[in-house]
Amino acid sequence: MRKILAVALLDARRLGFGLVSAGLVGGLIPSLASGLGGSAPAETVLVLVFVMVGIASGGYFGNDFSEGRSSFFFARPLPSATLIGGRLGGLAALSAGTFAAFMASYWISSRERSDFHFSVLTTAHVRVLTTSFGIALFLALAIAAHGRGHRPRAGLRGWLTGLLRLGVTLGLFVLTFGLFADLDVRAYMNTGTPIRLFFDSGVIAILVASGMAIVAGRTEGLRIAGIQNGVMAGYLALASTVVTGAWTYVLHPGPGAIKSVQRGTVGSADGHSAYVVASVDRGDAVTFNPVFVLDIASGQAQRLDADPYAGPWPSADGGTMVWSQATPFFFRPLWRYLGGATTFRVRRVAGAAETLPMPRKVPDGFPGTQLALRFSAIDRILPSSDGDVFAIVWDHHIAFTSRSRGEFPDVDLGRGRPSVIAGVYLPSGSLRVATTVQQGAVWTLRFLDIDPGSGRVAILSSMEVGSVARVHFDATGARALLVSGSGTRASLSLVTPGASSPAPTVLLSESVNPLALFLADGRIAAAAGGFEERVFRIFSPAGRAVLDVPVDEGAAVSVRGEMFPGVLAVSLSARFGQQDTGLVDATTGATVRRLPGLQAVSSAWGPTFGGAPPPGTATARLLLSRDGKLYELPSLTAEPRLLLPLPGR
Amino acid sequence: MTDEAVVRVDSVSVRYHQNLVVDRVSFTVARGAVYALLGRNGAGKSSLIRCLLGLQRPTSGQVFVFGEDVWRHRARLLGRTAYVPEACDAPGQLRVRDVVAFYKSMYPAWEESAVRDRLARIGVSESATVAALSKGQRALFTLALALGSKPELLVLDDPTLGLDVVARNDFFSDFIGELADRGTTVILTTHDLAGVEGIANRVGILQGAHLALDEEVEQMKLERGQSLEQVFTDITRVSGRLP
Repeated sequence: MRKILAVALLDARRLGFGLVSAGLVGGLIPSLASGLGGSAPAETVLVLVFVMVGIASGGYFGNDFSEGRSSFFFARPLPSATLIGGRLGGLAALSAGTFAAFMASYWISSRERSDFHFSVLTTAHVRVLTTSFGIALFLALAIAAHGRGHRPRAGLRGWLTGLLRLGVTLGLFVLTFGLFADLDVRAYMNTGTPIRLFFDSGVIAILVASGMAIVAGRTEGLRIAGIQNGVMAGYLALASTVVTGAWTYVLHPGPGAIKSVQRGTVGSADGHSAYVVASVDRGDAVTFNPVFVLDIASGQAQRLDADPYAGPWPSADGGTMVWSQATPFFFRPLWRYLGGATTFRVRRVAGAAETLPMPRKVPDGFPGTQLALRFSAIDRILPSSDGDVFAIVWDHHIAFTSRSRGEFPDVDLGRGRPSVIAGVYLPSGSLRVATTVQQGAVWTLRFLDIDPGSGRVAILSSMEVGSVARVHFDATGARALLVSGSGTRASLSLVTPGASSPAPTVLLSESVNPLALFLADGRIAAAAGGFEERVFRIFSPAGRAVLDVPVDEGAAVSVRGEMFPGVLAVSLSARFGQQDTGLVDATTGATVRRLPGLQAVSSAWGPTFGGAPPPGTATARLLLSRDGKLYELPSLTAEPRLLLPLPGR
Repeated sequence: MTDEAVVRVDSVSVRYHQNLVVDRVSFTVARGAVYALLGRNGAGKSSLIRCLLGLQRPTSGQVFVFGEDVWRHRARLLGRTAYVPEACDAPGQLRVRDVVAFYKSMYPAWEESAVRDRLARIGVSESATVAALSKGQRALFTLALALGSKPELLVLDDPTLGLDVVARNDFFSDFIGELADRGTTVILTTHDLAGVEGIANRVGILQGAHLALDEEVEQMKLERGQSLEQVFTDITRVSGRLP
């Protein structure tokens, strides 16, 4: 212990004055910044102070191994463990002294004592201290070891070998880090566990490498360098193996890994498949929700390697699907720089995935300067039903591309930075879209027809709407449901975009959260209201009220979809109870069946760009329980059949 | 001087990559002997000294100090050994008294008063920083520290390198004076052949990674009829090139 204290005391004597002074100055910064109208939280300043302590302590320790200096400690009757213990003791003493100086200065300089608090020290500071100490020690030791007299073998061969080793090491590190970053961003962003593991294990590795180099290399630079290199190479190899294994295992779950099915699951308009958003038994539940394409009849599910919020986007008939392939995002800028293709893929039903030819102006990749952006800037890609033309919507723009004809001319949506909020392909091949433009407090809704081939835009109609507008076209684009306003002041209207006089037909006015959908026969089902005032009404195709459907007392109601021809799936929510699904005959208003605890997967407003699954098809009959189980209702009278999670999970 | 070997270097080789700087060198140093290890620059003297102190592991072979493997038992054996490097290895920003205090905590048999006397004699203030000392003062300060631990074995690696004649003479006179009082075994490397001739009783000359000569100084002079400098020059000129 006496020798440990002696070593620690030496460090305190060498560095104490400088670091304590730094602590004193650092403690003044929060008050100074506050006095100048800025902000410098004490916690943040303390991080910088601890970085200084770590770098100084580690740097001095490593530098003591430079030529002519190392014998001061090693030529003494001082075991290596005692030396290391003493240096760590010195680090602890310097940290404590610097922290005390910082707190004293911080306390004295706080003009308002209420600004002062003791709880500035967190585990993050300890991590910062350890990390900066470890890195500084490692680098200083490496520099000392590679100093004059300990150079690696000379000559061209030696240099080439060194360069090759450096290149392989750097390449392996970049590859490992890239896979790790991909794993962290895609599967653990919420908890940040891998990033902590990666850096903590890295710091432990460099500390171990330095410790082993000191113990086994003592004063011999070549041996120190060899041990440092060996340990770090071993760590890198181990980390590469672990990260590659984890990346493969975590990001590529099979359907057996599905724990529960999430909201956001949608049925495809093809009538027989669904895009299932799942929670799986890996990754953190908030970040990682992989998409599976489920064939409902067979129950077979296959993971779609899609970026989050970047697909799949099906065509209105469900026959074509576009998504952004989840390639390791860290390498995307490099991939692009090297002339690599877009991440967007397209697939016809049961066909092979192909690369979508993206227009040059579309920002479908990550610019190198914006690696922090997790997801694509693309809002939506809307495939035509023939699977050849694709409308790409992003940030007040729309562009078209074609698999057979390539990039189409630019489209000018007009002034005012309009946002495309809904769209549907017309039989003519044009795309009918609804856009909103804000000018001051006024929102204007416009219906446009865009010819993809020429880029010509025809303005069909224009109207002022409330601050929020939602539009849902019918399958032909001839009619649209419009909700304008929000909360308790929203109105639901029927609009005919192509008519010469497109005055909206108000279906529900001044309602609470109105929702509506087109039935396959052209009728409209609409519901609104909370627990107190409810309305559930069926309208003719022209917007005339034909039936008021009675709703249970105390239940909130919303229409979800047309599950069977003429039979609506309606969500019924008790105030503090569970959500049930009622199957309501749209002609008589009679509830033909109630499914407790289940919700219809289809939604009145979703997808606003795609088509709804035809009633009676398997996709229209999907139900989701509150605990994340996905069922198919085979018929009006049959029991729901569990699809996912797979039985036995 | 007794026949008991304080240091036994047993077939030691030191290699840096492809460069073999010490090749199967063996010698012993008896208790009380003053052994001068000589050689031209880069001959491997310092590498051998580091191996001898357990600061560096030989590529092959072993070094025994007081009968024990010095690499394995370095910390214990260095309690009886002192080392004077060619340049003072104490951190320059430390004060002299801090370094002395550090040494004191390392060596139980530390001679505090003797060290203070010696520092006073060479004019080194205890409040001065190491960096503020002159080169000669630093050499004498290092020697004072080494002698303060009352070592049974003293290892000096070219301690007079770069010193002027006066400082060199001071160093050796101080050194010889101390040695007269103790039965300390000494191993030193130096280029100051004249200085060492008067104090060494055995000499080893490293040439071409080998120990080309390992003899008693008096016997060498007697047999060869040459001074140490002449013998050294003859042996080390074999390579025919300047260092």
